[in-house]
Amino acid sequence: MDDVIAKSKEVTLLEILDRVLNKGVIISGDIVISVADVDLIYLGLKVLLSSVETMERLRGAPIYSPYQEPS
Amino acid sequence: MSKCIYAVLDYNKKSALDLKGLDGTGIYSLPYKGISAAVSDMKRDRLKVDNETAAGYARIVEGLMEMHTVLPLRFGTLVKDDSEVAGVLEKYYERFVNNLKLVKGKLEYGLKALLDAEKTTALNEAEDRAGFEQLKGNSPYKKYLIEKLKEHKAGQALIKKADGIIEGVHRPLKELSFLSKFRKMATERIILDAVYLVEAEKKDIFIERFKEIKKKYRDVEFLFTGPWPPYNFIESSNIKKEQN
Repeated sequence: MDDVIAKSKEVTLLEILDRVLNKGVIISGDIVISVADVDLIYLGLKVLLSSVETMERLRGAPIYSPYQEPS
Repeated sequence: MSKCIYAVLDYNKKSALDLKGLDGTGIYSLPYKGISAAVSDMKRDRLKVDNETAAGYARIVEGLMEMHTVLPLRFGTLVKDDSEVAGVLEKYYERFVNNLKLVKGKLEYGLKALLDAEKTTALNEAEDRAGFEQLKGNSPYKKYLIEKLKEHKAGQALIKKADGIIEGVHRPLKELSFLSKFRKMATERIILDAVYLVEAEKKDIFIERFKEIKKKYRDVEFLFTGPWPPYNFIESSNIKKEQN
């Protein structure tokens, strides 16, 4: 991501974590979305808390981007 | 021991991908009918969620994006062995193919517009001072009423500002995008949270357009990021439907 216009290190990390933890294809059913030993530095920030909570709550179940309406 | 699946690729060969996985072993592609999964061997059965691991995962997906069209999988997708990986590709094949077609040759950009809510409130209060003066009084009821009015006016000012940003910033960027999504007032400060899927050949025009627009909004802080793998443009709801 060399050509990103504006990003500070911390903010960029938040953007990365929001995508990696909250987005992307969910394969559910027979496969476990596996996380362990939650240890995030930015626990004060809502975005990360919600990301981790979401993962814990919805292990194995599809979830939607906040931008998308579930059909 | 397990296998971590990082992404699905538009690639049809079984080969090493010149990238290291989260446990340091090489990432390789496992093909199925013209697509493949990018996987690596893992010594553990669960992933630790910390900044380093998550950022490492993102770097891997970015590395894959530089080689192929990618559908990033959610962090922590671990399966037992290669036969389970093949099972995933087979089970969701049609949806993977459709999504790969959708995002092929395109890049994701993110834009957040942040506003200082206190500043907006102060400005708004100044404008409406005359109205509040009429309600001046010391009774608890009047004080309560004045506070509520101030809150209401402040909210209105933010919404008005957000609408202006959507019209003046989001709309011209949306016009240049293949797909876009946005949320208005995602939080009190983030008045616009938008993502854009942009055709690679329009990337430079898109960035230039944003730079031009930015100059017109000195009082707004923008966070413009990318290019990202298409995390926000995968039709995950389709995958759910197929499971049902």
